[in-house]
Amino acid sequence: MIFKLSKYIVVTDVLDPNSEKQQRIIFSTRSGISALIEDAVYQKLQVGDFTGLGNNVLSRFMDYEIIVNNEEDEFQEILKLNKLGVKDTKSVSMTIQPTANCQLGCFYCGQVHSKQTMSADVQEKILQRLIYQLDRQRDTELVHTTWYGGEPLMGYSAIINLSNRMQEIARDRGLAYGAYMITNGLSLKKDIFTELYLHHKITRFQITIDTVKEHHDKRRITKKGESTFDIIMKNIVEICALEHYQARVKHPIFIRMNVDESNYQHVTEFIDYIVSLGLKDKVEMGFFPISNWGDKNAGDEQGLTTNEFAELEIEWLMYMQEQGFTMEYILPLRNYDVCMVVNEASEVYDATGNITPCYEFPYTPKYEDKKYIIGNLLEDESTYNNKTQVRGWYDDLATCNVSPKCSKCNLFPVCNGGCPKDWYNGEVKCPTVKANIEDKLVLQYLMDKSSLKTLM
Amino acid sequence: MKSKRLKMALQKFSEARIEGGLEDGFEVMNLDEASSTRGGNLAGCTCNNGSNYTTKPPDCTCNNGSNYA
Repeated sequence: MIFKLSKYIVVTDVLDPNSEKQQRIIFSTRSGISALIEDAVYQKLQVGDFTGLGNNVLSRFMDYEIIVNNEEDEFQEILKLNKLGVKDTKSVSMTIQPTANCQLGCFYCGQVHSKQTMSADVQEKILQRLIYQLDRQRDTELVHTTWYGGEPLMGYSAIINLSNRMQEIARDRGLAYGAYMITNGLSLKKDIFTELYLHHKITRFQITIDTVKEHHDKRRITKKGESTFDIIMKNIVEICALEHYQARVKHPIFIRMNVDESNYQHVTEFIDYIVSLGLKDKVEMGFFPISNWGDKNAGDEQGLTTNEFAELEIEWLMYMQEQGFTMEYILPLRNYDVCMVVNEASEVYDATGNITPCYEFPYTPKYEDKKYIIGNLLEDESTYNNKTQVRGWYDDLATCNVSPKCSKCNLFPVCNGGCPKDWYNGEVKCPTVKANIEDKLVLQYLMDKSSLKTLM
Repeated sequence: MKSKRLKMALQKFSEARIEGGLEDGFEVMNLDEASSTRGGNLAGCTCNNGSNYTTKPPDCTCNNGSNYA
């Protein structure tokens, strides 16, 4: 036989068992294509009766990588394409942590904060490093920065200086420039937002609010124990009211909720609160499970299991639909770079000058070992370690040195292992999509084909 | 399917839907979204042996030496 059914597919149950035309949804994780398929056709695929499909259908199934060449080692082919995909990103991506300081003392945070802010020397070296990366990667089309911390706004002057200079470098070379920021939102006053949004091209501000005031103020408190919910929400409301708020993008603010067993029951209440403030068309929202960050074991101690979170996530997504939030697409896409760690053109620079391949490493005692650090900007480049452990993720997968489960998982092309550092740490944790992909396929189908609100 | 609410919504949708067969027994639902991460537009640039693209449309060079239809 020349062809085989790809092992990288997900298939739902028959959608309506009482119907004459029995249909399922099939999802190829190699191509990201989802399709309605009649059960009779799916049965032919399963038994390898490809000639019975007809040339037209056969050709389309091959295009969508539902059927592949029989001889192909699919896992190795996916890894090969991943590496090509990473090379093809045509961007230099920097995560810059201008300070090691943060006002907050969240119990689950793995960082150890200090008052160190980024010196002028380190800033100069970052600019030199950017030029080095651009010279090395001549086909770059985009320079992208993610401002992260500690709390990045506590290093505001470094942000302004670096942003001005990096935009100038990008402009001189005819490259596009863009930026995101991950902030606790405490200092994000409307004037600061305006400056960063309009003049420093930061088009996405991720702000964490751990559901309602009662719960947020138990965990996202200042180091002195002061509550922060009211201040952050006031900032968000004032920013969303600005005339130019949606001038560049539809949803400049993304609200992240860290959810565990203590606050999961309040997610819908918080969604209601956002609706009551008139913000449902202004902000995007997402839910994330509390994990073990750094040396903290918050995920083990009070996290939800993957299955619990996955089931709740479907309910929350449906609830948001019901409340009229705009959600167009919830399926995972074919992903070539698992995350920044596999891309040499993607580095993290912290306030001390350390260069790391992952933004979870800086200021975190668990990751102080040399194997996690590329080098320090203030030292000679000859001392840099370009083969830090996580950078070898795809090579280690190819030789089954790490995470043997991944090669057998039908979701690998859209997940690529989720979080490489967790696998290297022996902390095996698949993303929640593994536990709710079939529900997501059905939910997306209903979102596309109906007004879901009327069905609930 | 695990979600009971989703199951009920699907049932309600199925009951209300006027059923039609699928052309070729198959209907793609997300061509635009899937194409966005696959090097370009699948509809305008289809490799003929299931291979991927090495250059984006409009060049549409397929890898493994294959052609595009």
